[in-house]
Amino acid sequence: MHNQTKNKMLAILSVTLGLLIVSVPMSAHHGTNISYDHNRPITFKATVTEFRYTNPHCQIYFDVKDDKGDVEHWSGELTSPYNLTRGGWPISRSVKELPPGTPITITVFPSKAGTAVGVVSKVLNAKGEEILLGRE
Amino acid sequence: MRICSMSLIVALVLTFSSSTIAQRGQRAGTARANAASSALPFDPHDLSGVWNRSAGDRGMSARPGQNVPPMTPEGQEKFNASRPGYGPRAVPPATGNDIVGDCNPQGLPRILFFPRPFEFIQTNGRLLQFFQWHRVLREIWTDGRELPKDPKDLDYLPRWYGYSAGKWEGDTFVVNSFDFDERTWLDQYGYPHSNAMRLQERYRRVDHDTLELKITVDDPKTYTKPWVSETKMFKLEPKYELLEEICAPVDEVDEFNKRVRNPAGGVSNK
Repeated sequence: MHNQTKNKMLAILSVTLGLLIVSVPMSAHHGTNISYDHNRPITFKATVTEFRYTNPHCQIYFDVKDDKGDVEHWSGELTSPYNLTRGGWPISRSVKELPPGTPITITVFPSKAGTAVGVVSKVLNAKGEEILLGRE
Repeated sequence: MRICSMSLIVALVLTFSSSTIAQRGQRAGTARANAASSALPFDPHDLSGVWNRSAGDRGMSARPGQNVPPMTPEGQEKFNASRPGYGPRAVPPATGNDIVGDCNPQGLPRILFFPRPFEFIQTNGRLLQFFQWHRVLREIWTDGRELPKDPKDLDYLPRWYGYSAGKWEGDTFVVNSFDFDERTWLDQYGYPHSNAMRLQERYRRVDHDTLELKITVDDPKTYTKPWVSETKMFKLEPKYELLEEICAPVDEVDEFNKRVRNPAGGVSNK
């Protein structure tokens, strides 16, 4: 690799890493991040059982079926109604997307305690469109 | 091989940070749009309007642990006992002891560090500071009164948000407060204070759109020297209407903690 290209890539890498580091402190609200393992995102095909657009943080409850057909009940933590509203996801738009029974693909950072709870990184609807606001 | 792994890392980092960059791009766009309004004429003694945090950390200092004055033995003991959900000593909130997790008031100065808007409403003899979070309405007396000599002269309970009097020193609005309830922390990192704390806030409107704030905590029972905060910056949001954002125990404690925060922290019954 040419030194110039390498330096360029290193520069891009350090700038993006820097942005990531800087962006972390503003992303959490109630000390949420520490409860979850941000190095181990898990993605599920799931079915919404309940979506709560409430304070302090919105919540999405969903069922995940394993290979044997056993169902596991998961809880997902989202950001606050205020942050969702400011980010373009007011209550009407959010609730419309997630009635019970809705199929979703959801990525969460799971709880470090090993329980079926995660902070939501990304939600895709059946069309594969990203909905709500995730976190990195 | 090295090129491949390097490209992969860069690609991954770019993917994960793309939304951050997008947000930053939006902010930069807003900043450009605001450049025109920040040049508008303004009255430096008029603080009225909705202000929202635009820069600075969510603690007293730019980073937790930075510039903390040496603590007294009493202060150190309280600090050691605090188990915050943020910073280098963070524990899952379910296993911590941050009273905010059960919807108790953030108190001062912590509420000033929380990234939520507040509105300054100037009235005769008082400047009202109306926080979106919890819908807290704090009054700062501007009728010329000074704080009484001793908080005991107020002959009331200590207050979550203190008792405050403000006056202009040049173009800086200086607010002195005391009589604080010592159950709150200074910030989300678990720094304590006592009921002897005196707080000084210095607000200055830097331009039409920008307000800066510096805070000094003087609490000889907890810290051996006054602690001066990082400068916190706020931007004017002229069209924003405060939302109701109440931390209600029925939502937070009964629902959110039971169903999300406690299981996330491995706590089943709390």
